Amino acid sequence: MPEPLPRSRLFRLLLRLYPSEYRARYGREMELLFEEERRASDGGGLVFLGQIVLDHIQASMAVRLAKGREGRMGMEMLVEDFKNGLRTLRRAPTFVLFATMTLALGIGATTAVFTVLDRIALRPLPYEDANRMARVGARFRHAPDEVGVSSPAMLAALIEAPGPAESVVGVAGGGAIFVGRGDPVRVGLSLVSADYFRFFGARPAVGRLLSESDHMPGAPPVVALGHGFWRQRFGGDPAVVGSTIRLDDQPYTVVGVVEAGPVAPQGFMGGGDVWLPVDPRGERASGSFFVNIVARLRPGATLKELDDHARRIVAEVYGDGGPIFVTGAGAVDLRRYVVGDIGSTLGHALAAVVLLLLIACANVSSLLLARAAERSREFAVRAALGAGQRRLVRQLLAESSLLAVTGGMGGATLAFGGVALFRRYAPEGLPRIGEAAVDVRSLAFAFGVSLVTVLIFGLLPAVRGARQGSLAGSARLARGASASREEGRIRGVFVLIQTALSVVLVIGAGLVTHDLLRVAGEDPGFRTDGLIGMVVDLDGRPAGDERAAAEPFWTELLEGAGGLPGVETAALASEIPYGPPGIVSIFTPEGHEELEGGALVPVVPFLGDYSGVMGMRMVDGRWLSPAEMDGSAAVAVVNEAFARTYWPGEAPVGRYVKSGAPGIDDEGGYDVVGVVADVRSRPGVDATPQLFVPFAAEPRDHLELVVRTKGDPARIAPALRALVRRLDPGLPIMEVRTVASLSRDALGRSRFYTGLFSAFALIALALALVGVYGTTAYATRLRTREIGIRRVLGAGRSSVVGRVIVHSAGVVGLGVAVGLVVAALGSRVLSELLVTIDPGDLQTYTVVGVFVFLAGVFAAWLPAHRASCVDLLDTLREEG
Amino acid sequence: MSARHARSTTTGPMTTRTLQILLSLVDGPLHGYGIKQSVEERTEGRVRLGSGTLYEAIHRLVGRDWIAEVDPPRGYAGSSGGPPRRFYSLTAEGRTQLRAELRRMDAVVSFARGRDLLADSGG
Repeated sequence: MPEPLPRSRLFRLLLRLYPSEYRARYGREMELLFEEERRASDGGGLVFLGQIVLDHIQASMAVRLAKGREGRMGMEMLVEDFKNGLRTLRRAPTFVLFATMTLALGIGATTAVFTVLDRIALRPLPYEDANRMARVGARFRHAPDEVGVSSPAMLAALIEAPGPAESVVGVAGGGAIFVGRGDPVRVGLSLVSADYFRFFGARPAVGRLLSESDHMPGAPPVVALGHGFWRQRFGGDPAVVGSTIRLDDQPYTVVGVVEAGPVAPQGFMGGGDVWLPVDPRGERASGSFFVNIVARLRPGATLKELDDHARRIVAEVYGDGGPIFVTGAGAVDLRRYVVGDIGSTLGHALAAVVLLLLIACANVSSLLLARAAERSREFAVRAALGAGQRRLVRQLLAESSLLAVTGGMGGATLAFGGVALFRRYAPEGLPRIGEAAVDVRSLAFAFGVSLVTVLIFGLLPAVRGARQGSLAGSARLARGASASREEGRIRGVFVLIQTALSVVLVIGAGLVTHDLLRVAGEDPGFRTDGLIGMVVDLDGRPAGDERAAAEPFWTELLEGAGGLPGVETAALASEIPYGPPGIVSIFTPEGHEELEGGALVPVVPFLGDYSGVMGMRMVDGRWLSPAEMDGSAAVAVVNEAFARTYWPGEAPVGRYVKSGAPGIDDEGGYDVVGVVADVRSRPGVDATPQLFVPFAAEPRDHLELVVRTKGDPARIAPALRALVRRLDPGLPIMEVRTVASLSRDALGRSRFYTGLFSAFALIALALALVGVYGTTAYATRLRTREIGIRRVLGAGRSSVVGRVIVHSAGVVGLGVAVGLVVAALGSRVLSELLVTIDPGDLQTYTVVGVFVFLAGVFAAWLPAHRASCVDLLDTLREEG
Repeated sequence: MSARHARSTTTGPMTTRTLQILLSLVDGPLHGYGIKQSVEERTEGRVRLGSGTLYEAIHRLVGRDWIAEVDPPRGYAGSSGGPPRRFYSLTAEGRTQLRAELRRMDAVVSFARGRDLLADSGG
């Protein structure tokens, strides 16, 4: 009769109860014993089997319990190591303070940058299925690689035929004059297509959001209010739901308020004060492109499919007669679009702080090495008392871990401040920066970094210290000359690494600073001081105001502004430098009739003494005369960039610029009477072609009043506001700002990164110099006797100092050289941050190299000088 | 390692099982099955050692350095024809511990004799 379960197999199962090493040792023996027991019990009945099973369960539990107790012994030993470490460290408070602060700086900076990078670039956008969201839009001739805005007709076509997309929504910004509750204000409108709020998972704070039926043609006019606008204008009053508000004199019923916080990523929210439902269907294929489209892919569909689909849709919508500036269409991942190049910039910042952290680690590590050398007697005693090398390593690592933990805690605290600074000084338009905050992920990161730093800075000193301990025995002078020479070499390598790393950082900071200084110092082509600008918008004035009828208002405004006390001159123009960009029109410059689609040129209509107010310089010909301002003469002034681009090497004065594309001959044109020096439209950006024409020739309802003042231009702002209110109380009050502040804002981003990199570089340099100082101080202290003897033998003080300096200069110089090479190889990554200078800029490299070298030599000179002042008698006495 | 186990020298009374295993090794090294047979014979089956409990005890005593694994006695390997077995022998420490335990028992027994506690049942 076959046995149901072979006994030996059951026994092998029972053996599984034991720990593997126990099984390996006794398993075979137990099995033999089991066989003998079984034979003795006549083959082994059920009772026998039951006894066996119970026996092994009991025994295996006992074995495992005993093993656990042994593990606890290990824990006790660990606790003991940490207690020892704590005691040792408490005896060296200065060292602990210094090491903790160094590590805290490194860990804190790294954690802060990681936190910001994580929030902005690493985490998915905070929407459901955000990884399937994409921006869809037209591609334009001036930027064919980018996916830009779309036309309402494109949106309509995509909604009708979404192809690989599950859902398609569009949003456009707009403005309207809101009257009621205080001064009339211009509010930012968000015109959204159906399903917009559901797409981003937005919820109402009060009432409801826009529904499908609100978008239907003929639906009653309704709006949802933005949270900020509701709080600001309605004091957060929930009773606003159901009331009627007036926008551009049209009544709308408020259905609800959007919850606080951004509804959609930057660039997909429009104005955000008031949300209006629109229906793009039925829009004809016009040449206006102002809609931002987002689509969510069906699960499984690819971005490539959507890209192809968008191209087909544009071809369908526009056929062959599309706008000449549209080259196609495409789709791009939404997160990539929103984050853009910020991710890589922050990546550079993270790389910079990692270098900083490495310098901090090298610093603490060389300190620990020096301490280990000094404590070799203590280690020898411990070794003599029976502590093995492994135990010594553990004890030293425990000390390092304690340092890392305190450094990590300090770092986490610093990270809170660092992120707050980041948010405060972040340049305008840094996406998602509002979300940045130190959280569990950041703290986990700080903790992880601290652990890694222990390995980086603690392992080498621990292993060396322990080896010394067991080698040294109890003899005091057992540390042989070769051992101390080897130590000297290790210290030298640390100095070299620190110097090289700090050179890399300082060069990075030097490049961006140099670039910023150059941009800030360059000639903008006009006088920025004493200028103040104010946007005046007649859009939305009570109906019946035609552009031509508005001209008396502009003249009155100009005269009023010119007559204000403190004002030298005033002018009105469609755009001013450093301000928001104006309108681009199509022209055909003489001699370019074959240019397909014509030339896109920003045209600047103006009123008053624009060139005088701006302080522009004539290069050729003349500015427009007051008599020509009525527009009848059809004359214009171009800038140098225009002349360079279209008539290189030719005289522009007397040539003709035709309005409209080639072949369209009913739009008139301008005779060029003068050329002005280029004016930068943004700092650091080369001027683009511009055409200045009389206001009468190209009237606008949106102009910028620009005034040159004596003294501080900001003081005139209230008078300008009062003037506008007096002329038309129904006009919205717009922001008034000095051109100097516009320039500051425009430079904000580069200022920010420059500040960031400079801060890192300064900390790094300081740490590195402290490292050089500490290492040299330690080395000279070791050599105090030698120095003393040399002096007794007649060596002068300067020659003793000289020897130390020459040695340190060699190490520091090598470090600088290595750093320069590494920086030269790595600085290419910074090129996208640099506007005017090359990442290989020789001047920066030279200045930084010389500076770090001199600073390093100085840091070495200090302790050497002190050592040379040593009392000769003391040295001799010690020797005796 | 040895320093840690040295702490366990001051132990309280032994379990019967430990005492019996040590006693069975007094006359020389034995393998597991030999220990089991010796114990069960001496105690007339009152102390039973299963394969699990026996080796758990051996492992513990080896850990305490009271017994140690030794080479099989010469001539053993061929005698039963079976595979080589692990033999164990008392260490000096084990002998000390055994003696201490026996003295403790002796003291208890002397006390009992002095009070004539053994006489009635001894008959």
